Amino acid sequence: MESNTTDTKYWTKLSEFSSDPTFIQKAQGEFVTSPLQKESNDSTSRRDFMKLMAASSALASSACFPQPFEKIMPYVNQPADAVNGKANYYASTCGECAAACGILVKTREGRPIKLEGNPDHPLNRGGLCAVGQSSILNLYDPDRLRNPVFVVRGSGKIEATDWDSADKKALEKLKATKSGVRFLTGPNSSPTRNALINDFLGAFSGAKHVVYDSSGVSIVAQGQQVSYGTAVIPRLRFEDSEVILSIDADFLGTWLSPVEFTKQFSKNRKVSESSPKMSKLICFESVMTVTGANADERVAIRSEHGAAIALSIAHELITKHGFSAPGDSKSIVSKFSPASVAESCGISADAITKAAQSLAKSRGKSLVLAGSTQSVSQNGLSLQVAANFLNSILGNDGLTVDSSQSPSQQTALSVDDIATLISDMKAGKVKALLIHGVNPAYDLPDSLGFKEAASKVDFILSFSDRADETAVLADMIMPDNHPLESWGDAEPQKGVFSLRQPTIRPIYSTRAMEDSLISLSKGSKLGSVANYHDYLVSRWQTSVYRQAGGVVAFDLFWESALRDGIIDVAGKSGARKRMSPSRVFKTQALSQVSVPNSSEKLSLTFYQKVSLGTGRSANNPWLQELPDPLTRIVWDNYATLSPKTAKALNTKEGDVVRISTDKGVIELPIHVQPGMHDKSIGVALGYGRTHAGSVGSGVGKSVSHLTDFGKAGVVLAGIPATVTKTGAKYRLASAQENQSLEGRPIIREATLGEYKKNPKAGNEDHAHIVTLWPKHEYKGYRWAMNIDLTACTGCQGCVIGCQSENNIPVVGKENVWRGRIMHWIRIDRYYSGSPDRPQVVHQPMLCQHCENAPCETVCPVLATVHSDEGLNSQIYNRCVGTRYCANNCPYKVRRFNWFDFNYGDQMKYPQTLAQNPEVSVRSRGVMEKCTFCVQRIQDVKNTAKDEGRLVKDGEIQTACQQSCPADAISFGNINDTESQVAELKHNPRSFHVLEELNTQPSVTYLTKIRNVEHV
Amino acid sequence: MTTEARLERTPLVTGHKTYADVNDDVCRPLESWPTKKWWIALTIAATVFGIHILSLGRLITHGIGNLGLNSPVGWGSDIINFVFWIGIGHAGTLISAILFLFRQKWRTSINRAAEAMTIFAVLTAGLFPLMHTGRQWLAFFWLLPYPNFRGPLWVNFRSPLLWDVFAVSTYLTISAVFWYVGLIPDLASVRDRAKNKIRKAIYSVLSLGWTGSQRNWSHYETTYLLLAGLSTPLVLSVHTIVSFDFATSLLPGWHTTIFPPYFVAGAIFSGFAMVVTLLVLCREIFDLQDYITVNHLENMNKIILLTGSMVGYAYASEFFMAWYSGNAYERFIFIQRALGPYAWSYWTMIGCNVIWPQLFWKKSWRRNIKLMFIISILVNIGMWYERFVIIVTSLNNDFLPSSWRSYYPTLWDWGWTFGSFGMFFTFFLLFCRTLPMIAMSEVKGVMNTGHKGDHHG
Repeated sequence: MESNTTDTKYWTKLSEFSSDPTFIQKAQGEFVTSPLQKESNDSTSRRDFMKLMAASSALASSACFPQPFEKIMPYVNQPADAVNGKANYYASTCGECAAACGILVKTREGRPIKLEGNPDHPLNRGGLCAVGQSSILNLYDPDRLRNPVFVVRGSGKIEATDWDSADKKALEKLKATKSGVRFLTGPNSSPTRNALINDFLGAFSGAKHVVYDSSGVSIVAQGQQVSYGTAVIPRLRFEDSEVILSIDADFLGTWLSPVEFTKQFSKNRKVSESSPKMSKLICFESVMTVTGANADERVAIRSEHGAAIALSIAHELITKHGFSAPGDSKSIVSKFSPASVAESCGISADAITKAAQSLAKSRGKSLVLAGSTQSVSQNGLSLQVAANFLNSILGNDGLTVDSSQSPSQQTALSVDDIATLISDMKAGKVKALLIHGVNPAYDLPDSLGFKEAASKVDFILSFSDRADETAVLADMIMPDNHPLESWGDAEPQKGVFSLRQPTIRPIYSTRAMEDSLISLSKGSKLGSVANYHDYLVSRWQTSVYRQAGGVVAFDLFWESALRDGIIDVAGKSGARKRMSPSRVFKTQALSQVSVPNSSEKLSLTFYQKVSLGTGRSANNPWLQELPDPLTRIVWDNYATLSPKTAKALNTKEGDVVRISTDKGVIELPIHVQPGMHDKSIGVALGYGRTHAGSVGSGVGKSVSHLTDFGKAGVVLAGIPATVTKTGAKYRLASAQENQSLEGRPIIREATLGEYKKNPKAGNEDHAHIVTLWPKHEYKGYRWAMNIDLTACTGCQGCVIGCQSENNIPVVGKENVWRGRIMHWIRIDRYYSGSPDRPQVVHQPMLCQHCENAPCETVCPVLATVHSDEGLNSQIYNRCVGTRYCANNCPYKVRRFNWFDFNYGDQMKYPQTLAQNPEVSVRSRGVMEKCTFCVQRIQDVKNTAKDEGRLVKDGEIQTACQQSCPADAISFGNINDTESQVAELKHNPRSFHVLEELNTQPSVTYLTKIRNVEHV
Repeated sequence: MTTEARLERTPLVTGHKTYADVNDDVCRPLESWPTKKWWIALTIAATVFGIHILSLGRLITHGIGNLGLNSPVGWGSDIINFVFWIGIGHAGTLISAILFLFRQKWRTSINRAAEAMTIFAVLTAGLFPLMHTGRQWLAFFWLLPYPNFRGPLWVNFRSPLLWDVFAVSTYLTISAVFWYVGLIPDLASVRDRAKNKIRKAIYSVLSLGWTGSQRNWSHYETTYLLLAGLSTPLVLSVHTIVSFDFATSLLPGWHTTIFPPYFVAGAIFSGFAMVVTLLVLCREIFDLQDYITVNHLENMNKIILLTGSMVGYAYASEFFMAWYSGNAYERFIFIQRALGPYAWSYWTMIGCNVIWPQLFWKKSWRRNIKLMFIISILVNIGMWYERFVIIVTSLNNDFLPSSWRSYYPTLWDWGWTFGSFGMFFTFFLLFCRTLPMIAMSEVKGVMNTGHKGDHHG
């Protein structure tokens, strides 16, 4: 429309005809058809306008956020070994239980951040249990006492004080009481601490060191005393055992030294084509434990029947298999025919005869165990005797049972000591009571009346790290250091000396109990020692150094001990391998065992959970939220009932029942537990703390009002009880709600016999599936993992290892119930077979780092991508949290931050100091998952690069792999055909979970092999 | 009866209306003080909208964990509501665009309201996927591909969720433009009738200087036709792409090729049901019985019957395929749907979507206002549960039994579910007061004014 003229032939409006210039201008602009044509010369063109619009809206929407301003401060005096950003490891000793595993403490910038097993330690050999690993969090527990306190008797109110006034007052009190001093501790394998306590008590006439153990281990020593005449806890050689019979001894979970036992046990459970054999584990159990879950044959019993069952196995061995019976034992045993015992115990006689058959084949190469809390019934001592008898007739004593070469030093004590102490207290004979490391007001039976007795003691000094149930009864608390802040040592087995060194200055104004004792010894010989460190060094010089042979100068010896954390005298001298002489079994001990009567009442049994044990670390949120390996329930204790019993009571999961015994009543929700005896109820100890701290107080229910004190000490099992339904409901939070595999081929398993015939047994042929996606190229490394389902015991150690390494938050009970537990590695537990005799399988499940990762394709913002080393990486910064990846993940291993869990109620400052600075702390709204410990991979790669070489096989250890006491996890570069993972990937037992989806995971599993006749 | 009379179609507008009557009737709600009924409705709607805003605020400030979601059920009320509202938003464009192309003149009385409904439904829907993310403040722009200096870092073009972003935003844009273009002549009518200055000014701006010239009309008609052509594929594509969110995943119960047609049919189904619900209410509240006649409603009921049966067929086909495929995981999901813990939701869905609409086979029933109102609401309940069934019952029982877990909606889940209705109705009620609810210009075009026997009495 260039025309400016008026030669329009036709017109529609008069204005058009009149060629009004404004009109012409408007008319020209009215229908601009070409975008190139300018509407007018003077005004902004449409295109310019659009440009400006776009620019200004872009500017407006991209607001500038300044980065938070932080300063990095250099050290004023740079410590010799401290390099910022570089971790230092110190060898030390775990202080969680008397097993005293060797640990390596990882510190960053002077802060301990992770505990790992010390690979040089001859017992735990690099493994560490969940409890040990989580003790790092206890160090930073905000509920620990921050200074010494006076306690007001009666009210339990605490008043803060300082060390000088505390020392002054305590000295006054102790000086006033020259006699009647008692020192109460738990089982303790530290020779130096025991020596120090003796030195301290030496200043008082008639003073006594009383040891009591709440986990029921002392009954083992007592059983040995009765059977052989010496109170000893023998060393058990699982490595040399072909058949293991455990009667209520949860040796893979909570009993004595589970990490050491798992290490040994799993060695004989590694099946390969070159050595297609494995040990056989037979369990008779009153509650379902990790050990029972790993048993090849497991029989549910009532706790009080263990002894009779053991003797009926002996009966079989003697009468059917020709084992010789010492003394008059044959006549005693004759009462215990399998048929009659089986009938009164409500089990099948077949189970007894089969167990005997298996044992009979392994003379001198078998092991019979009895002893966890759940075995400590009225017949607990009889069970010990019967188990010892079995070991003796099988010829195991001296071979697999070592009582003299390098026996356990965990505890050797009398169960009556504590009862005597309490009666002395009640009688007013005890003037001063010092308490360390135990909590009798919580875990002793109420019927013993510790609380009442305590009120009669003039002066009670507690060394507890917090104002716990017992400490609030005291006059004063001198809070002990955390083991990571202390010097110390341990001799868990004869000749195995483990050293403990502080890795951080005490966080609060606390003092090691030993130093407190030295301060309180002013005037005596012990008072002249400068501190416990000096005491320890001098004692090692006189004792350990000498035992070790003393070839080098002591300074060098001490330095190497500090560096290695361990002086293994028993290993060097060969004592650990040497046979001990077999002892004479005192057959009269057997006469105590009686044939059980079948009772109408149910049998109430208390057991320890892998997580909380006896409740010592109840304030540890990691442990509270650690799924039980069997029930997978967190944050609660409950009554486990067999499916049949639950049905008979017309109860379902979570229904509250009232359990009544002679002593009292408890109301608990039930958990229907396959593999329980129909007449047995299991309840976990360690819950219902009232003074544990902000996390642990009020979680679950305490049972101390139901336990009793019998001739064999505290009775924790086989308590006659009746159960009634209350009608109330309770919400149990479980990490896994479905119990069964639903017949899905997720677990591949075979029997040992099948495996011998065909190494591929139980494993389907792997189909070749085509894919539309182009293959990823891996030029350098490609990381992969292998998990041996036969070796994995389900102990949950890896879960805590991962949690500690990767800053995984705790979400609390409500969120677990909702299904928001954050663990990157979880141990799925499935049952198969009948609910009476279920077979259990544990499957560690973590991000599978799929080649064809379903999560990667669906993320709209590319927050999860494939690395060129085969890792499926999650980029937290980019994640907006659509959760599509998690929905599309067939393994459901992705975890979403529903809230700001890292700043929640469960993790409070200074617990946040335990976080690993190498791993991002995730904020609300982002997805997270297993990274294959990418920070560890990177660290080792950097080292290798500095040294101009490739990463060696086995050099990188993921946190889960490192902590695994069963060595079930291997990790490495699958592009290296020589590597262990590459080899295992091509093992006939290897399979992928959900192979048919063609996700091609980097994690392979090895089939579960069971040493049974039929799966 | 004469031949002429026999050939005569039933009038689309009854009541012997003149053009002036149309203007008066349609503009009346705009030009008079709102009635008591309207105020009551708005108060209720706005209150419920308030709950929505409160819920959204809670989710932004405290975290998405306030919803009952978990692992494995990562999506729940959020995506159920999204798909539900997107589905609702299908009828409007279908009525305006597809029926326009097919020269279905009866659409003229209902297309304006239906389109408005579409836009409000898409707006309501669009909020859910943005707000359901963990970090809403980033999701707003990180989901869009824009030039940047981070690499540059782009969005993942393989992700169906991204396709959603494009599909929904395109749909919203086109629907809004289409609606607005259709509004221009009517806005001009309102402008011309305006007596108040401010009112006149506002509507002048909105009507973009419409003069009613031949040219205006010629361009208007062309644009409208083009936009109708553009919108038509979108009606089919949007829900197809929404269904890809599920169909392209590998989850049993989601991973099926039937999803695109099944979702589109379902969307039209629920969209028409919502139109019926709204129009039945509008014609009562605003006395528009002569414009929105029973014939209109009957036509829509026919479509509801058709699409409802298609959806029913899809349900059956899914079951058949689950069995026929031999896929154990798939079979399990479907057995669980029908018999498992969420069976109540499945049977609610079947009842509402497949069984009740069958009543429309009978002519007198599909012309019964009360009955169709009830059924239209049932259909919407059923379609909400359809999405519930698809999303929740696939996620909660997938491959590894160890991860199975139920979804228990919290108060916040219900808060933003009900709240979204508040948002929708608030918008709709405001629309009824401010814009002509019926396309006056189009209705006039299909009126039989001037014909014999149709004289203004």
